Amino acid sequence: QQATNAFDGFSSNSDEPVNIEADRLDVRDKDQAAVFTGNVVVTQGESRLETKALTVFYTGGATADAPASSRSIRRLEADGGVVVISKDQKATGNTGVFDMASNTIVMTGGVTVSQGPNVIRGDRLFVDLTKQTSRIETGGNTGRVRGLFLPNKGTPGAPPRN
Amino acid sequence: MNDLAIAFDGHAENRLTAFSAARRHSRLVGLLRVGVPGLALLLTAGFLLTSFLDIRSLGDPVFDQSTSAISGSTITMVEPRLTGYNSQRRPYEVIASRAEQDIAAPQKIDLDQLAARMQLEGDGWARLESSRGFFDNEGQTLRLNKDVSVTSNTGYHATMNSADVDLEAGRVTSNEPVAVTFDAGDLKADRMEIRDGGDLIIFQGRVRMKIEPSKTSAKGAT
Repeated sequence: QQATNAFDGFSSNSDEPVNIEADRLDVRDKDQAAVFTGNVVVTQGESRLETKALTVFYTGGATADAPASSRSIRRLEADGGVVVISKDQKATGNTGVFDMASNTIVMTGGVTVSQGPNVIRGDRLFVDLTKQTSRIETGGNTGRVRGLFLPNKGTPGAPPRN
Repeated sequence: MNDLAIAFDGHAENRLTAFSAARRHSRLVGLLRVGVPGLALLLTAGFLLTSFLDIRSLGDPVFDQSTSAISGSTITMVEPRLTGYNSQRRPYEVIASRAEQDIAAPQKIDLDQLAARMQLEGDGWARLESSRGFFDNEGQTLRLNKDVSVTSNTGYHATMNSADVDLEAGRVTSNEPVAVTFDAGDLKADRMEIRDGGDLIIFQGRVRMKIEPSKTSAKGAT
């Protein structure tokens, strides 16, 4: 049975609607940030992200004339506890930062990534979405790797599809 | 779907084949990328709402009304029109089907079928409507108390039961459910408040935002 990455739950080409719920949303144009707070739940299809506060940092002029498309999101920060659930995958940590520029996700603070019986714990989960690699690191600055996720060259005999 | 094997501390036997990343970007990225245009549209929308607040900061608007009649102490103006420019030199126009003013209290004006239209960049425009309005020139407040809506040609549409506009403080509050629709989705909340002339927009109470991915890609280009 093909296990999928916890982050596999929110695919870009799924056309299922995305729902974001929260107790409050503050849009602070001066800081160019929109903050969802209080029981924040983001869902799409079978995937779900839960956190206490989700801050969206964007760029682009704050004038009425700036067409919406000229604005883009720079960075997303979820803190106060983050849970990402997709199918039987689950990733949890204190904070989750998704940086659009570097196309990476970093989860820190008591990170656990689990799928069925398999659980891996560490201090930091680093997911590089361009290279499709992710790794869990433990130990303050030693960054010693506890569990390394390596792209497998596909099942023997089957040509790697990319 | 390629398969990721996990080498755990390098020992082959406790290799865990636990995770595999989809070939395409991870789904979390996709979700956030989908959410982006929707939210961006919302941010522009918020600003549209507040560009009307700039009205207070311009010179003296041109006020003309086609006909007016006085009965007792009430002046009734039919189809009054107010035009002027806001602080960004954007022309705007405020019309009403009827406006009533009491001579004894000229600062207060009752408005029916109020509609304010604001010119934006290029051929953009935004429109604020309310079937009933109550303007207090002294307090610089405008109470819109029935079927309030704000629309723009960028596909944004917000509706509220009522809204209190404090022109002086640049604040709009609506303590009743607010619904905002934009071409890529919609947002609902129990209450909304806009402060500092639009620098801060607060939605509170069961905030629910829905974004249709299929629509964002098409619209993303505009």
